[in-house]
Amino acid sequence: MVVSGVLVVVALPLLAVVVVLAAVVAGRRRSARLVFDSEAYPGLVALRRSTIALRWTGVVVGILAGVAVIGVGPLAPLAFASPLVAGIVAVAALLVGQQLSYSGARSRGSAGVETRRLRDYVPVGLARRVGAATGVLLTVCLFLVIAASPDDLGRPGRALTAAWVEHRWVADQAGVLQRDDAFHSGATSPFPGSFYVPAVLGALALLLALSVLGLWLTARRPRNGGDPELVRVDDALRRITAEGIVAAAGAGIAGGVLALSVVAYTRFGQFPQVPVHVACSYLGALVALGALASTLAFATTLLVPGNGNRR
Amino acid sequence: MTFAVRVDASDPTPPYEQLRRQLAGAIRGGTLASGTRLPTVRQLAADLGLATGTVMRAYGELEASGLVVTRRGQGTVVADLRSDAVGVRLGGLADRFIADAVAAGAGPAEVRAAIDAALSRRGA
Repeated sequence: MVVSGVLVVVALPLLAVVVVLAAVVAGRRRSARLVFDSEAYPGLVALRRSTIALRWTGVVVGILAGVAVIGVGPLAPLAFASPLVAGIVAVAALLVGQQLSYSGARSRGSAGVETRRLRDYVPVGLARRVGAATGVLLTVCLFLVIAASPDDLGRPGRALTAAWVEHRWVADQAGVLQRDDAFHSGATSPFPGSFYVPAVLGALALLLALSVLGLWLTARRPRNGGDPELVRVDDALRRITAEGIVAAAGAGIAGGVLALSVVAYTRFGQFPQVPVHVACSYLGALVALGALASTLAFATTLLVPGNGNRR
Repeated sequence: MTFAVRVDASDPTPPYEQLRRQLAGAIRGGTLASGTRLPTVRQLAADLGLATGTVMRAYGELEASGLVVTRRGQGTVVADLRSDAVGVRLGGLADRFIADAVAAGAGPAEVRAAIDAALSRRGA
């Protein structure tokens, strides 16, 4: 399959290399460490380690899972959901890391009279960008579903078709020019229409649900709120985890937009005779560039955690 | 500065009573000002490693004493003690006196008699 071939051989490894390079560059800027007395708080050391280390594991396993689902099933119905699947795995890894070691911030029998709210930890600007990416993904899905047609075997929403008229003038036997229009049509597949979009929407729903659950657990997990130093460090770790969850969701969603828009760009571009398709192709290229930049930005934020300071 | 509460598992006092005493003391002493929002029952129970019913009972006792109020959508907040300062303070003092008297083996009639006798001695 052309799509999976392009994604596996070129796009994903290239994206991975660029993300790692961006992470290394950005890492120098964001690498201010979260400093505390590690001997006095060994539990927080474990919590910090799992909070930060498991995101790398999540990213690697997520990319592998994303690549693995591309070829699943006849005609690869999950192909375009692959980036969202990677995001789901990355968010799940962050959650597992936190759930494995949150007891490090807890002292049984001690607590602070404090209220912990989701908005104290969620990075608002980043969350807004994820919301915008979700809106773009839904818009792109709707547009592609409307644009798609059945393929040559009648499977709905799997191909892009086009019909155009070629205006020609032919001289008859008397030498008079006669109009002789030629009617052409063409089709190209696979195209991410209604055949592929349900898997994208299903993966999006799962990713958003898991992210909300993860943020809720991040705000609600127990701790000894009566120790101000522990609270300072634990608050920072919660913000780092929340930032990771939001960034992972954003990377998955923006990656989904990227996959859909790149294929849309190439498919519409196969019909240069149809002005509307040419315009759609350019639009697809623009969306793809924006999605690529967003994916890189989200992935960099995920891979290079900040120091958890309130911003 | 966050007010810290501790529940000692080796203390013979029931956990809900340990919690109630500390919160009531902090509210009466002004450490927890009126309007301060208390953590949810679930959160405080998870932080302390207690059952939710234990924290719920402590909150219930505080509410019965007029020290906290529970409002839908706002959770449990420290009551405004200025509106009925004498009554709330008396209620708290009576609670403590009765608890000590019961612990000493006194019944309700003896408790009432002791209060009447104390008032008589003061000429009231």
